[in-house]
Amino acid sequence: MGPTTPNKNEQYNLPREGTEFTDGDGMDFHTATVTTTLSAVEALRVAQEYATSSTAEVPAEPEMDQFDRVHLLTDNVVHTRQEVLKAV
Amino acid sequence: MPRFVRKLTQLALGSEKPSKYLKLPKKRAFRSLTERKLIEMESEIGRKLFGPIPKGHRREFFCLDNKTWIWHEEYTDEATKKPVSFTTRYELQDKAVLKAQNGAKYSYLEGAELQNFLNAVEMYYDQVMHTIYQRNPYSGQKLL
Repeated sequence: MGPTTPNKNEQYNLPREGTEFTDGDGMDFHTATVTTTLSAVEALRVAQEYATSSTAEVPAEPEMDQFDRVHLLTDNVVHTRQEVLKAV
Repeated sequence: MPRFVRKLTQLALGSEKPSKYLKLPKKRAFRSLTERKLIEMESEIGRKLFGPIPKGHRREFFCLDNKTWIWHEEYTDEATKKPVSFTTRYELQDKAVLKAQNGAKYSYLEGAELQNFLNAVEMYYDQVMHTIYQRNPYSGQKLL
């Protein structure tokens, strides 16, 4: 029998699925968000990369800043106003 | 017109004028609405966002256009008994809000003042969309 392919956890030297992280494991709000969209193993990999590399970029949804938000709300008010005026 | 033809026409079309209640109203509910009127309605909500208005004060707060918000306040100065009014214009820029008071003093909103303005816009939007335009503030869909 030839060499066996290591399972994913051994391959990446990652904790097994189901391992719970506590404070200090490198998990933070961003990586916690990532876990909702990636598989558990993949999320652990991302978390570990993030914890060990200061340059790793954690993908996160772009957040609308407060100025974009105020522009959006203002545009919506004006647009709705014009829509109502057109309808009468 | 022969009598029988007239009779036939009356039978077919009716001879009486339609009752008033069958007529469509000439003016619909929002017929007289203008942009100014809508802004006034919005300002009725806007003026209440900052707590109770002191007695004798008149306050307006509204969105004028895509780039401008207005705060207007009027009252009589108790010491001098003279009317006092000031208008503050907030101009939205890409990453800043410029405040112009009485068309002269210019400054950028910062810190708590900026945050209060942003909160006020948020509240204004929620209430105006819901109360006046009867839309869901999040989806923009008309409320049933």
